[in-house]
Amino acid sequence: MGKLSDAIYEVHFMDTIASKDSPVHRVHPLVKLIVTIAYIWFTVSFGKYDVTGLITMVVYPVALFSLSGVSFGHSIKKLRVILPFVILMGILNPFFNREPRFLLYGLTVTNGMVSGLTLFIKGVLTVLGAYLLIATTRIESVCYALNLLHVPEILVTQILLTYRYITVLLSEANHIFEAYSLRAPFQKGVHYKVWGSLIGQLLFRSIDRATGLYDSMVLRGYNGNFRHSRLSAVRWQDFAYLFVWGAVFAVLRFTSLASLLGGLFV
Amino acid sequence: MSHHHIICSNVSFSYDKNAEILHDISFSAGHDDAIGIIGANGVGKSTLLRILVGLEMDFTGEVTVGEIKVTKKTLPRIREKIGYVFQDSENQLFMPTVYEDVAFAPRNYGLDAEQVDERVKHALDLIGIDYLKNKQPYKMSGGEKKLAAIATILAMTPDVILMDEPTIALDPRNRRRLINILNSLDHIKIIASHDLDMVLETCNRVLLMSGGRIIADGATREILTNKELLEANGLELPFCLQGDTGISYKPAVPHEHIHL
Repeated sequence: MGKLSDAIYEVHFMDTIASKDSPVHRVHPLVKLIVTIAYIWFTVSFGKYDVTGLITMVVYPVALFSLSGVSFGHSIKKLRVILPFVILMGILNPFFNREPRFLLYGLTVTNGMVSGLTLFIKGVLTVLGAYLLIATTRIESVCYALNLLHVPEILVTQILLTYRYITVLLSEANHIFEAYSLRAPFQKGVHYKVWGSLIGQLLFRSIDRATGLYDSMVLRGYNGNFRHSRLSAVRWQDFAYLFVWGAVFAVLRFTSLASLLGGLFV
Repeated sequence: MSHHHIICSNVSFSYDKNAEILHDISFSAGHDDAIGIIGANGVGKSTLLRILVGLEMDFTGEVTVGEIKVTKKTLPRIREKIGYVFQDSENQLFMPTVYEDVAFAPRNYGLDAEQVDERVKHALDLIGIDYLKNKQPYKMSGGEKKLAAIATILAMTPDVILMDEPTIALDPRNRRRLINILNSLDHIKIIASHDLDMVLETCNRVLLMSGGRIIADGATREILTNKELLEANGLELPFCLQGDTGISYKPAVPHEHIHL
């Protein structure tokens, strides 16, 4: 079950890169979270035919990749997983909206094609924005920031514990499938007749784990309120980071920077 | 005021009326006690520990910890006094780093950030794992996880430490380290284990359980050297004592087949 062990490795890998040190890693998590939310909001707010405006938003991931040292190649590999969903979002647009928009080398480009393309770009950029947040911020810091933003406690705790236990669950699943494959050497996958019992096993083990975990929490004074570690206060550099990115997003969104730059050269 | 910190009087427990797991358990533990609970698989050792911290509440009889009777209302006060180390450390280490995990209980008991930091440092120093402070639990070995799990309960400054099979899955070096740590802690300790050699080294008193009852309660040396009693209850003499009592060591491979 190479795929399960790969998944475990991926979670560990994300933790490792989030623990690195760079100017972006050092920014206060609350500021990074607000900037990410703002980036996603500005990105999705572009009009459905505004491809050129949308492309200028690439400046944020490009800057963050170069400042944080997060591997662009690896991120693109991660994107492969969600790419089908992103494509699926806009794939039907060319069929529903066939109104011609412009001619490109003799080829009629329809409104549907353009809106499909903007949906695709929006999908990729927003996913990259979120990826860059978790690649440069440790999970406990993200949860601390969510807590500061008054996101419901139960949701934040859920995120924190899911992140911690996803690897435990994956490794339990890995053990089950390894034990199965060692006794079914001539089978490529898991026979459909035993899917039910294997999934059932996994479910019971998860319930067992969750019960043990909850017991462990209540024995150490947990009463429904998760108390997060307090991080250092927001510094002036963090405010500067927030202000600069806020200004950049506003300029990119509300001025036609691509046309202005084009005008300078034409 | 009683000199006993834990008093367990006529405790019986069952999930199902027809199958009693614990029957009429009575014992008490004082401030100098390090008690080993021993017995074959399924005799109720872990259940007894779970009752002491109120993880199982449907028992009959009475349990008091530090003069407080264990009831649903008193559980938060009881749990502040008792640190419970789970058999599976994976259940105990649920935070992203060891520091966060050790800080979990002090934060829940309302300590400020400075006091929490002090408690965490002290607990990690006591166990000698300061170097693991920022490590993620999944990157740690079984031995490191066990030591971190002990640190998480020491940060609560409990009066009593309960441990369920603490040496399970530990290599000899980590097991030795754990024994040394246990001997250095002057808390009341109650340890459920099959590792009789560890019990011999860390406990001054033993409760031998069988069929949900306490069969014997006495000095560790006295019980763990009683071959007949141990064997009648599904156990053996500790390995370190087996040579002295005529049980000969039989190598899996005859000596003549070993070529060095």
